[in-house]
Amino acid sequence: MKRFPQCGCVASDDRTNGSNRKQRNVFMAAHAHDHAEYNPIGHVASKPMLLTVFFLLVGLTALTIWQGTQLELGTWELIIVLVIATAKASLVVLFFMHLRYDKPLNVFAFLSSLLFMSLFIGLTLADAVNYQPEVSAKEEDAASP
Amino acid sequence: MSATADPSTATADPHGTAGHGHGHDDHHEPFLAHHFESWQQQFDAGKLGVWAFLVQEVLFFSGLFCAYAVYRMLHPEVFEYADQFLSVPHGAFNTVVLLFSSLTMAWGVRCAMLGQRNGLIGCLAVTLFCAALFLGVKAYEYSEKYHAQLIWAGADPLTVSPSGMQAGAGHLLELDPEKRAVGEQLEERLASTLHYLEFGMGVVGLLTLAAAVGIYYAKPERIGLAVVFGAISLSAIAIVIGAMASMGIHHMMHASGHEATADSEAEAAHMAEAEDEPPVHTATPGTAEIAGSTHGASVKAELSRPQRLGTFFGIYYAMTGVHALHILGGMVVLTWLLARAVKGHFTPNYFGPVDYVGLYWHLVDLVWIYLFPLLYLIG
Repeated sequence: MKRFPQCGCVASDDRTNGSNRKQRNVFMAAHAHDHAEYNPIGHVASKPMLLTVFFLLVGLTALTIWQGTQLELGTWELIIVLVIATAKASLVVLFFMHLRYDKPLNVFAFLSSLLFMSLFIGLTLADAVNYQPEVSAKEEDAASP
Repeated sequence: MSATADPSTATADPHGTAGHGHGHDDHHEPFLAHHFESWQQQFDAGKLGVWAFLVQEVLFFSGLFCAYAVYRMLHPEVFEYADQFLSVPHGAFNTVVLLFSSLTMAWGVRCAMLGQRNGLIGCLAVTLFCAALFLGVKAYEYSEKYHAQLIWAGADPLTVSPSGMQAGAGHLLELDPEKRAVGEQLEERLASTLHYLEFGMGVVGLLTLAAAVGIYYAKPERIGLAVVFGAISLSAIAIVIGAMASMGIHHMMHASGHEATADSEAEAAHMAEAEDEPPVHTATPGTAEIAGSTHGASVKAELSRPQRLGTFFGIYYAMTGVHALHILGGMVVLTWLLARAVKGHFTPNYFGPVDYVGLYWHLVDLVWIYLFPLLYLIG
C-alpha cells in the first residue's frame, strides 16, 4: 500500500510493494495518468488557476492603459500605476512562480531582495532630494560665470 | 559513482544501488547527481539556487529603476515630453505577448511535472515564439526612434559632417531633394530598415529550417541539433512577424491619427515622425534642441526638445535594452530546454530545469510589468 499525500490516494497495486524502482515508476506513471494533477515533488498548477491568473493580468493591463491614457490624475497617477503593476507582479510571483506553494526559505529570499531594493532606491532618492539644491546652485554658477 | 547503500532513503533509491555491489551502474538515473540523496533534494537545492539568482536579478534591475526614479524626480518635465514618443499600442501589444508567454511557460512546467512530453514541447515552442515576437516589435520601436533621432545623449547616428553638433535632424531634409514632409521620409526610412531586417531574418529562418529538416532526416541521432536549428528558424520567423505586425499597428495609428483631433493620443504618439517644418537648431553647444514641430493640419502646441531628452533616452535604452538581453538569454535556455524535451529527458521526477527556466522567464515578465507603465504610460 502506498499513500499519495497530494491527492489523498491509496494505491493497492501489488507492484508498489516491491522495492524495484522500475516497477514503481511504471506504477507512478499509471497513477499520474489516472490523476492528472499529481507530481511526486511539487505542487502542480491547475488549468483553471493558470487561465484565471492570465486573464486577470490582461484585465489589469487594460485597466492601467485606460487609466494612463484617459485619466488625468496628476501626482496620483504614478502611485496608481505602481499599485496596479504591483498587483500584477504579485499575481505572477504567487501563482506563475508558485511562490504561494513554495518553501518558506525561498519566500524569505525573494522578500529580502525587495527589502534591499527599497533601501537602495529609498536612500538614493533621499540623498538626491537633500543635495539637489546645492547641485543646482553649483550648476548655475558654472553656467553663468 | 558512490555505491554505498544509503540508509536515509528508505522509500526510494533513485540511484538504483540497492542490492547491487560496487560498479553496478546500469540502473543509475542519468540526471540525478551523485551528491543528492533524492530527486526531491536535488530539485529543492536547484530551486534555492535559482531563487538566489533571481534575488540578484532584482537587485541588478533595481539599479536601473533607481536611475529612473532619481532622474524622474529631478526632471519630471523631460519624462512628460518624452512620453509622446513611446507608442502605447506597441507597448501594450508587447505586454500581452509577454504575459501570454508567461502563461505558456507556466503551462509547460505543469506539463513537465505531469510527464506530458508533447504538451511540454508545444508550450516551450509557443513561449519561444512569443519571446521572438517581442523582439520583433522592439526592433521596430528602436528603428523608429533611431530614425527620429531619439537616442541616448551624445550619440548622433545620422551625422555625416564632422561638425557634429549642428547636424541633427536637419540632414533629414537636406538628404531629400523633393523636400517632402519629414514624417513621410521617416516612415520610408523606417520601412526600408525593417525590410532589410525582415529579409535577413527570413533568409536565416529558411536556411535554419532547411538545416533542421536535413539533419532530422540524414542523422536522426542528432535530433538535438535539429531542434536547435528549428528553434532558431522559429525565432527568426517570429521576429519577422513581430516587425510586420508593428508596421501594421503603425499604419492603423497613422490612419486614425489623420481623422482624429490634434489632441488624440495616436497623434501625440506620432509626433516622433511628425516634424513637418525644418527643425531650428539653437546655438547651444552640446544639445540637440529642436524647436517648432507641428503636424499637418493639427494645431499641436509648439514643442521643443528639452535639453536632457538624450538622458531620458539613455535610461530608456538601458532599461529596455537590458530587458531585451534577458529575453535573448531566455530564448537560448528555452532552445536548450526544447532540445532536451524532444529527447525525452524530463520526467515527473526530473523537471527541475523546466521549472528554473520558468522562474527566470516569469522574472523577465515581472520587470516588463513595471517597465511598460513607467515608460509608456506616465509622463
